[in-house]
Amino acid sequence: MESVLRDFVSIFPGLEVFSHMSPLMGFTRVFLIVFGFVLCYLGYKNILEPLIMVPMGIGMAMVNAGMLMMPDITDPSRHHIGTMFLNSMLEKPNEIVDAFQVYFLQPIYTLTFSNGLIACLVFIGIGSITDLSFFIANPRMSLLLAICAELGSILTFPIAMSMGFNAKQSAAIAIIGGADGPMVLFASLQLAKELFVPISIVAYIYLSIVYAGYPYLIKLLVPRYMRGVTMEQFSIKEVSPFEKIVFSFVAGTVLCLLFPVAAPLFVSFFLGVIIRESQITRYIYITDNVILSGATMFLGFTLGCLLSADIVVDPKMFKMIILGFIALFLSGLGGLFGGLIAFWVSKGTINPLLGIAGVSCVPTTAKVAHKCAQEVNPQAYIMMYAMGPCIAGVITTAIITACYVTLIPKSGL
Amino acid sequence: MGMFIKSLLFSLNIYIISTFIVLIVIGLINILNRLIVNNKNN
Repeated sequence: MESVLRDFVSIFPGLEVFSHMSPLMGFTRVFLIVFGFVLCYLGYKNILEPLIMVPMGIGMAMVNAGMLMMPDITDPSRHHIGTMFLNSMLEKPNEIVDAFQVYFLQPIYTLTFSNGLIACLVFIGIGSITDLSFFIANPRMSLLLAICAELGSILTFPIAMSMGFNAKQSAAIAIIGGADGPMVLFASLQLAKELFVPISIVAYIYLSIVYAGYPYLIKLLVPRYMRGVTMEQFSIKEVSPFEKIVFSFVAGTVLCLLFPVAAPLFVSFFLGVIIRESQITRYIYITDNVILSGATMFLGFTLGCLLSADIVVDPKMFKMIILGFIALFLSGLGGLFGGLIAFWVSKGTINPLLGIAGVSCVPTTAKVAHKCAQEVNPQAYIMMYAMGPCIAGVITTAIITACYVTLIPKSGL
Repeated sequence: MGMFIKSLLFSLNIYIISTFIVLIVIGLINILNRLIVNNKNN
């Protein structure tokens, strides 16, 4: 009976591979298939960010279902548990070229993830949908709120160091606190390539949870009457497209000059902004509908496909889950603290929820701030005001990332 | 503990440098705003 069952199972390599893995790995594999479905469902229901969670959930479920015993690329006589999706562990050029002919996602991973191109493509798209008006009209308030909301990117670094990560790994993990997905990808590729996959996955899962979790933090820390401030007395001066183009050109050039290591991100973001403000409709269509949508879909799908059972059972993953939570919690806390200071300094004209928008996750945190204000006072339309700190958050996260990338090798840590 | 304090000081250093650069960006935007508004008025 047992041999009949074994023969039957051997017809299906995806089931047979269970016999080659430990019970923990087998359980994790089944858990990730179910977890992928749950993420996909929560994305479909708009509880989590659908643009990332739907492709990520599908990738996560399918990659863990589709495991089989694969011949080794370097030595075909040896076999290991793998998939037909991609292999993120290859480093030698000839192995990578061979992998192009085996794994269907390998070209996308090697040519867009390994060099950070996917982060730059997302940044071009974000730039092309970003209106800098409020940010340029009120740079001081926007940037000061955003720098308060970087608390997690700063304080997570020593916590990660004390949990056993080295300086480069700690900095890459700390950048999760900036709540900027492309920046996390870029930082982990620059600082800790070996942790790129788990850091990116933890970051993107948390960034989606931000949408559901931050409203509770807001309700806990900001009194109801403050949440409903309409900001009517706070005027926004009109900013012309020319001013936005000049700012993008000058700020982009200065930031590239100061931090050449982060120049690809700066140039991508400001290229998107300048395309938008130049009103080149064909380019705007391509950057928004093709580049941003395409890059986001492949980003979510490829990250999901990278989350196989062997990565989850790594003990470092558990630490990163805790650190990712700490980073985003501290950033939210710092942002709200900055917002409360702004409320008191402005004698009640600035809505303190603008602080949470400084956690840069464009435009999610601005939407969270707006939604929480509307719940208390339907007259409080703070979305356009919240976009200022939100965009400033992208710039401050880029600055902090650039500081870490530049200064860590010189720090001796 | 020593490593924690050392890394905390390093990260605070990063925060101070970043805040300084943010102040430069604020100054830059204010200068640009003034230049462009003055040109418009002229």
